[in-house]
Amino acid sequence: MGRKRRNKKISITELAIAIILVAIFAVYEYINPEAEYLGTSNNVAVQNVVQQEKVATAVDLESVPEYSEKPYVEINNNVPYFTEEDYTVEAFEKYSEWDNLGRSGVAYANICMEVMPKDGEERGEIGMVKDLSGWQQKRYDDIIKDKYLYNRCHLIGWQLAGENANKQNLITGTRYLNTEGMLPFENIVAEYIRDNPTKHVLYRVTPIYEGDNLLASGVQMEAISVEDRGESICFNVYCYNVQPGILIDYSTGESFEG
Amino acid sequence: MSELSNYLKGNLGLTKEEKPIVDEFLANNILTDTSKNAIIDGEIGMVLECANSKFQNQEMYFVKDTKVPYWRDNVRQYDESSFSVLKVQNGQIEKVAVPKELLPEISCINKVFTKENGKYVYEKEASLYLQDALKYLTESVATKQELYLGAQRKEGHLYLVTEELGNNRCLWDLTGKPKNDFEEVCIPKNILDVANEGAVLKFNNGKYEFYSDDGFDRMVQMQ
Repeated sequence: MGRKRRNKKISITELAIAIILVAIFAVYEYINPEAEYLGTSNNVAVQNVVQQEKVATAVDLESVPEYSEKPYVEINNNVPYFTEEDYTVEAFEKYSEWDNLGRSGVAYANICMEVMPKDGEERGEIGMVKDLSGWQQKRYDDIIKDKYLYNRCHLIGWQLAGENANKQNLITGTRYLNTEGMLPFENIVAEYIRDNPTKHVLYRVTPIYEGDNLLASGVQMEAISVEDRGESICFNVYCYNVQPGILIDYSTGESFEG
Repeated sequence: MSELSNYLKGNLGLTKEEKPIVDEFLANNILTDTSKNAIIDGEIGMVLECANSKFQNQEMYFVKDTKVPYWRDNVRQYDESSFSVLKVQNGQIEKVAVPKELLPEISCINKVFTKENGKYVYEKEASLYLQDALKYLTESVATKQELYLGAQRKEGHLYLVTEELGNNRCLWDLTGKPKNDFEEVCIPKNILDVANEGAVLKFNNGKYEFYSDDGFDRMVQMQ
């Protein structure tokens, strides 16, 4: 006895309903993109946010003076662009999706003991840095004491938020940017929190690109202590992504002796 | 005055030589960032636990140091006229400065106090309890660190310097190729200058030595 074949036909009505539901969902996602959770770091939800076309508080490159020996320059009289609405004691970390050129965007966190890396936290895979936009590593044995031009440069340093292997927290940066520019400011925030483990610092780092350049011209670093509204910690600086003695083509990351 | 001083020493167990348990440990031991943070965070937890278990909702004060670090315009300064104190009230903890004249003349470091009629009262049992807890905390974090790092150090292996953290270095085992890199604290001083991101070290005869400066080139070959 042959098996009875079932031919269940989907009605046109059912098909139309399904298509409409899918369309509604797609439109909803387009106009209201949800932050994608990367999981948790130190029990703090780490969020990716869709990168904006332009971060409202990012410094205008036109207004930044040319590099002249000092690794950073103060912006807005060293006052960051946080508003009263930004102040919170809730721990958070936010990293931007790469844009269509594969470039990292703004990274923003409320630095506190809750987000700082602690005992048992793994640093994660170091990853293949070739994915970073503008990564054209080169050696300059006679010009750079440490030989290599570029470092894997964390936007929010490991010591602050424990995000080592998160590609959205990395840019191609010169050693000079990393150690002379950014590190002293990171250390200030880390030491402040260690002295005051119940306090918070709003901390935002924005890589600044010119046009479609793959290599950031520099990074803007803003920080403000939350509980005392900046009496302790308050800075807004632009750190230059340069290496003295080296000429850099920011459109590609290629470099040449200066 | 010296009789009072001797009385206080004898009856309160206070001495002039005491140093803050946690801060001294942090200053005198080479620790990873994660270990330091674990100790600082752990101290907060233990002070809260002591307040909860010994004094329920009563205010409790733990004297951390003879000076108060404070920050102004991104710079750390010290107030030497006050003790740095962790105050717990209704389950909430904060760091406060208590003028030195309000507490007994002899060092109050690592001691617990409550308040009675506006005056600070030394709590011996709670003090000893918390001192033991903090010593255990620091020693257990340090032991855990040493065990972990001991397991990473493999004789004859090459390690890529992936990040510099002060005098510590993050290393990735080029030979073993594990998933993660790790923060190493025992980098000999004589190679700190050359142990930069991209350098390669070798663990040889129980210590790290500089091997080569072509770490990034090796990574490219591995890809």
